[in-house]
Amino acid sequence: MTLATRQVQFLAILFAAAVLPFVVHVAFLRLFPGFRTPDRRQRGVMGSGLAGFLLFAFGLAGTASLPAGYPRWSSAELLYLQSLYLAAAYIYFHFFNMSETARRIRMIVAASQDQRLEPREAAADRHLGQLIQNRLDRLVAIKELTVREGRYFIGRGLLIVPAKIMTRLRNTLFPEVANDSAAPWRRIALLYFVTLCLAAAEHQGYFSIPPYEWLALTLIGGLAGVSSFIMLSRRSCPENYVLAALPFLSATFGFIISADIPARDTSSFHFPFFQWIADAAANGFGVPGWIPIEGGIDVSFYHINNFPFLPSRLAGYLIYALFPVSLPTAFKLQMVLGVLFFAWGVYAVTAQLTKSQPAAYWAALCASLGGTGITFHQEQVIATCHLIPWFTLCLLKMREKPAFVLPAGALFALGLSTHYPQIQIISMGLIAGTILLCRPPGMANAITMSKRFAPWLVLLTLLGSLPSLNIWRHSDELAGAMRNMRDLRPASYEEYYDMNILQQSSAPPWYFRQYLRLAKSDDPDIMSDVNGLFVGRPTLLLAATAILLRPAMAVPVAIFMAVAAELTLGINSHLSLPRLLFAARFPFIDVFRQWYHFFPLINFSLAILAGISIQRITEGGTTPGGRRLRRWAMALLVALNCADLIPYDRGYLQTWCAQSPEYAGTSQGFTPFQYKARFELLKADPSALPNSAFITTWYSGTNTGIEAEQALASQLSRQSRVITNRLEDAAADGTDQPPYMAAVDGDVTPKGLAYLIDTPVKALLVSTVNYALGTQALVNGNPTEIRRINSVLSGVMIDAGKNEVSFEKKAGIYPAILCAHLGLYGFAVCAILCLMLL
Amino acid sequence: MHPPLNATSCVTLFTFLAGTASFLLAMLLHAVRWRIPLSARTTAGLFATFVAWPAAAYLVLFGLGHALQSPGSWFVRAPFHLLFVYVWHLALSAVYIMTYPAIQAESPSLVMMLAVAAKMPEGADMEDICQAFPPQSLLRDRLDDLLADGLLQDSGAGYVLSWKGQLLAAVFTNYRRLLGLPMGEG
Repeated sequence: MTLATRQVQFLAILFAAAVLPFVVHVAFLRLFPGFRTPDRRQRGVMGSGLAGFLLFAFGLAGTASLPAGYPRWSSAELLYLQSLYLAAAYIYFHFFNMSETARRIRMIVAASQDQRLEPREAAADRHLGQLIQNRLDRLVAIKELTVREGRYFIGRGLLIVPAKIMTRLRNTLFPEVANDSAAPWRRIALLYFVTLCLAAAEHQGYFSIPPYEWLALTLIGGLAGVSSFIMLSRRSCPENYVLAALPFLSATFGFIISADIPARDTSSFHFPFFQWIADAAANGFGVPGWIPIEGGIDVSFYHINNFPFLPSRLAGYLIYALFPVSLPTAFKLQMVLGVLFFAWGVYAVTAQLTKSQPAAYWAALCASLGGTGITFHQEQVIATCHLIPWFTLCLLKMREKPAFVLPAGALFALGLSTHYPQIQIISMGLIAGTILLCRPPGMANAITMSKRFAPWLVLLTLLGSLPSLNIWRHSDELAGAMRNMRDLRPASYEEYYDMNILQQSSAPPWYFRQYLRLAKSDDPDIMSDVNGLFVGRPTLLLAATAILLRPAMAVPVAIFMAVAAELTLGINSHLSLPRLLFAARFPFIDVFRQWYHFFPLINFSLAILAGISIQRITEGGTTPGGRRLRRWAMALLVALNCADLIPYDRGYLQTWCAQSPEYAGTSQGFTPFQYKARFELLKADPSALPNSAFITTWYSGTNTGIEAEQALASQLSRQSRVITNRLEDAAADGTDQPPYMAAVDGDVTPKGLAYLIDTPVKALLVSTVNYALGTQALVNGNPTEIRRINSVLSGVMIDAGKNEVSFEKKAGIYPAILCAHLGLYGFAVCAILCLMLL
Repeated sequence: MHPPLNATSCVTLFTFLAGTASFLLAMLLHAVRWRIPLSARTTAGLFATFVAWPAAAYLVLFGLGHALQSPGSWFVRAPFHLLFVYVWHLALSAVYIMTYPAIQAESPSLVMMLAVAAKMPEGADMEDICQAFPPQSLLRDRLDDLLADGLLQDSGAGYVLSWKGQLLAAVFTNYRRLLGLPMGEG
């Protein structure tokens, strides 16, 4: 069946899904006229919708039993069709309700029957009492309300939540504000336009002389900061988030539109994987089954280490697939979105703590601009910290609504399967512990009330752990190439210490000097990512001031920051926290070697502390003159901080891009995991792992043909001599007949490898694909047994002549795990929004 | 590396993501546009934001993809995928559009629920519920909506249906007849 035929059939089913609710409802009312009475009409339409759903589901399931030649729908297609049916049913339900209750429809129909609608009749609301009574009767009939002695009471109350959502949406879409409410948006648009033009002009070299470039960056940064701060609204509104993003975007705009990719980890590790999945997504493959590195590895093993499905990454794939932008641009845009996601979380936390929009603005400024350089150099920093502020926000909000424990639980669960779960667990645990120790008013009551959510929290944790559990289930098959000089799990803390020294996992104490003075990038003694510890010197000043201005609020944050600093020091910690955690057998701490990546928590704390000071400063002032003076002083501080941070960011980015090799559009990249069998064979006999696939008739001296095929299993093991693609090895084997041997090229796709081979004799195709990957081999479309070659590789026998051979990797259960994981993100977002709106 | 298009599936996880993102973008535009007081908040505007503009945007993307031969544009090679993304966008948009009247016109049933909930536990009487509605707003505002949408026209001596209004009235009258139900009472 051609794809076009399949798509036309799919469209036909789509159409059926769209009209089915209507057809079933009509039939339902014909079959069961009892549902035509006013009090049962609602049940009739809902019952017919359910009947239609079951009918459609059984119909789709029935297509699986159709004979060959009919399409077999994939799970994604079935989900799509069922979702569309549900959407159609919802739409039909509202359409029916419109015909039943809508005032506008009633007026139109009345006008059509009477040929005219009298103005007084239309507008006098003479039927008002009757109209209200009709609706009350309907609400009583469906048990939403109850009536006793002429008074109405809430019955089931299912409509209360939709009513609150509708009211909130109405307030959002139709705010009761002055007529000039569009002005802020116009001013924001103008500000963005001017700032981005200046940033682009700077990038294009208008200010190319270094001293002036520095001056220009400082001016642009200061302008962006001052302008956005002055326009900041005093009340909480979405516009403020947009304004808080402006300085960061002005700093990174030139970088985004350039063709550069930052060097080191980004160009060799993060970008190739982004490219691989983005290409698969953009070409309609969905989630690729494998990563074609080191002989191929299951894509699910990259969930933790390469975090390919973070929200910002998903946005990057969408941007690449939907818009005509290059891969580097899409990649950098998703990095920017990741930073903004984190910064907006910091904004929300600071606003919650201080109830001050300027304070939140400042904190977001520090979070987005501070440490940005390292974020772009090591993208995992985004993964490590993006959940933490939102988790903090949920805990703080629990005092108002205990149900916030649910999104907090979802975020914690997501942390269990996100980059460095150890950092996530320790960080979130510290935050929860700090809040518990401070015992803010209402928290004890909130905890008591939230106990009823315990079963749901267990379920969320289980769902969030699925990707990690999947990796843990296969951990015996895996080895880490980075750790090829030492064992994966050290037995004692001394071994653990040595590993951490070898991997430079921990910050030495002098790193913290970079908060005051940036390290020179050409200094050979420093690590390249040391300048992540920079949030602007005005921020440091304000953070220190916060202890004096608001000690009750600042001291717990400062204590949290001190612990985060100790964790960042890692094995250099004064309190020897790693030793304590190692001795306590903290889960998976023995394989953890990234203590330095606790530094975002320090920057997070500094941002909040500075925000506390800002709140104290901006709230003061008893006279109009005094308030104006404070406002302008604040604007000056913002300008200074932006002027301090933006040139630092640009300098950092330029340095890294200057070191980056030219973007070559390759999918080659470094792998943190590979299959253990391959790793061990590589150490024992590298010649057993060919660089490319080949076909051969050489089976350790036996003849070609069936006998050789039968002998293959016993000959090809790690203990016996290995098959290689070197002809001289074959010649040295002493056989009378020289073997046939030829290299072949394959096409790499997200589904696997495909070869087109023309061989003069029956031969063995030795593919570079790992046997452990669990592919399915197809020779000329027929499933074929895969032979384990050299205990690691995959091979199949092919006949003489032209052969189409493919090794396809099925995604297995990973798409289901991924859906659960993405569903948790969706749940957390929806829960936070709903709880904040209602 | 640009692998060939997947030739086996009409829909992938990506179809959902792209359609949902497109819908959220339309929602954002809708929210921004509706907050501008001078802009027309009509049903036609709603359809333009959720149906026509996105369709035009998809066509432009399709054209751009062809013109620029962008490696990332799957539309260049598979317009059907674009169609399925747009259908998903339309489904979500239609769900919202059907919910919109309840948001815009303050569904009286929902207002009544909130009015009763506010009076719990002692309950609300008819007077409490009637107070939840601004004077004469239940029908007069809706009349203004019909005039703004061009469904009714002021003939001087009363309101008459425009051709659009007549069409809509015919649709609902025949629909109720098909169901075997009398017209709703509002």
